[in-house]
Amino acid sequence: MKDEDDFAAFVAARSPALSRTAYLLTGDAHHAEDLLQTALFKAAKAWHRIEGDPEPYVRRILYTQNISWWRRRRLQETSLGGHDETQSPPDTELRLTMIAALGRLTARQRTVLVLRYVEDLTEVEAAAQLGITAGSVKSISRQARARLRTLAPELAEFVGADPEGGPA
Amino acid sequence: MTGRLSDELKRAGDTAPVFTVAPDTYRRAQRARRRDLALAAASGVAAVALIAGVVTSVATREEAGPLPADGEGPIGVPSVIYDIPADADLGSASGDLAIGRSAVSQVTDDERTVVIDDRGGYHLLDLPGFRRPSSQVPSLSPDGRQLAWGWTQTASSAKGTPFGVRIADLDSGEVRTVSVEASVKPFVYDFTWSPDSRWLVWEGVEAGRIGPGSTTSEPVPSPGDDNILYAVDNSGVVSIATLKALRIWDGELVSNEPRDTGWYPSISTVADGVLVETIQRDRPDGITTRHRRLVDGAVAEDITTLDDRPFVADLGWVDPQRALLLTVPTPVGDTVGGLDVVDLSDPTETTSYRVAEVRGLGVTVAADLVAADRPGLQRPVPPWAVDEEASSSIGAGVLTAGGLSLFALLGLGGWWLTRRRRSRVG
Repeated sequence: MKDEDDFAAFVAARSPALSRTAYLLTGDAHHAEDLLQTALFKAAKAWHRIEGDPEPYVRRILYTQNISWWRRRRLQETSLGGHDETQSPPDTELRLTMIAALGRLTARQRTVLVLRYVEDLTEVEAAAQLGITAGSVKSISRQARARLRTLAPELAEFVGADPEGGPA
Repeated sequence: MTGRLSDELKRAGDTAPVFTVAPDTYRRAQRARRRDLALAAASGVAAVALIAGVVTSVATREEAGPLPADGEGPIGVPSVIYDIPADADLGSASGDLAIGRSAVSQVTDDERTVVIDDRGGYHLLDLPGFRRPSSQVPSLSPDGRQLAWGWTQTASSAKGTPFGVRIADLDSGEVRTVSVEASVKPFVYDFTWSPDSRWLVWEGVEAGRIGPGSTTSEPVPSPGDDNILYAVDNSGVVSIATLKALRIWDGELVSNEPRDTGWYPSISTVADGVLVETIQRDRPDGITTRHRRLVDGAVAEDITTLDDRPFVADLGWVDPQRALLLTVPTPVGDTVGGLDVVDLSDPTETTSYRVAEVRGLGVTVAADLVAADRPGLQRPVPPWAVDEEASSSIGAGVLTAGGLSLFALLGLGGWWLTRRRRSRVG
């Protein structure tokens, strides 16, 4: 019973933070809910083997499962707007744009952005989480930010360099 | 700048709903686990039945050609650089690094280091201090005679953990250890060699320059930018390209040229003071690529503009006019790309030819083994790739057998119908 209690306590304490990550990772509230449920189910199966803090284990499942799903389904991903439609401008307009643009990135691009800029991992740490090289993290991050700028030019000042700034 | 991106993303995340997790998740998971255990036991029985198939598979491998470690072919780069799966049978990893001049270094799917020598032999290496997961790709020098990798004394990634770079002489097997004095996290994940293979710049959380034969590393500026690329020439002068500037450094900052924004750079040293830069800009419908020659940090010549060119990374130089590029359709998710030689001698027209198909991960290539008149060499297909092809053959065989069976059934049905009609007529 102890393991089950520990699992329940973990879910109660960490669900909000994990929901937030799943939401940013998937770009869709329904997929995020599925992703979180799947990750916790997998973690529960292996609960007896997890030593120490289970959160890194659960997060790693979130990251890799999301990319795995995307690879299989090649989802036509849509914006996250539904959960934010009641927000009011002007500050939330920017957030809406960011969310809509995020929703049109690939799962892998979004995952790298979340790891680097939300979870504040270094390139090397993000690479270790995803099982890819740090160079790939760098490339994907570059692509993701370029795509954000393309999708939402008004975000350029947040994202980095202006893609239209150079000569053609 | 990216701090603001971080803030904005975090704020976007704050709008996320909190999902309710099904209360029976744990119990369902435990039931599933018990079911998995039962299935695993049952599959043991089935495994016995597969032994005959495994024996057949081994026989197929022996017929496939020489084992990849028996490379005895002509000198050069293989025409196909295969992905190496985690379960590829390469024997035990060897700590003997005297394998001679090599053509390719790459990492397997589970991050073990494999070097393909210049005659096509595969060598699984046990590099001292190299730890997995490491997120680094050991780097082969342009002349194929040295291999560099990052080492750490312990598995800890905490600040203060002793770390550095090791460089193996692949002719003698001797390893040079370079310790890095740094108060940062012990990461090394990328390398840039000078064209003559004597100087090396490593990149991690910080960066450093290692001179010919040196066992010390000199700190190199590491501007706060996610897109830093380094190049070092035969005199040890380091070029540092970022999204905002191109800096030339030689113990101190020599120049700092602002650059056009929005272009992502990749740089290679051609000769002392001369760089060729590949710059790329993302567009919604593709990528715009330009090459240009820089002398002492300033743009001397725009070579050409190539639209719709795939993502490229400069790997080195075949000669002063021909760049060696790794070309992939997109930098995300694609593991199949090409090793291309691009002739930049004509400013108005760029020609290229493919040296090798790259199906593997984390590949570095000895550029000196690529020549204009020496494309990639055909080598025996390694057993793990043969298995893939064999699977396709088995699949084709099954399909053929199915087709033949269907054909036979139809024939039998036709014969039966004809006979029936004849008997009615009769």
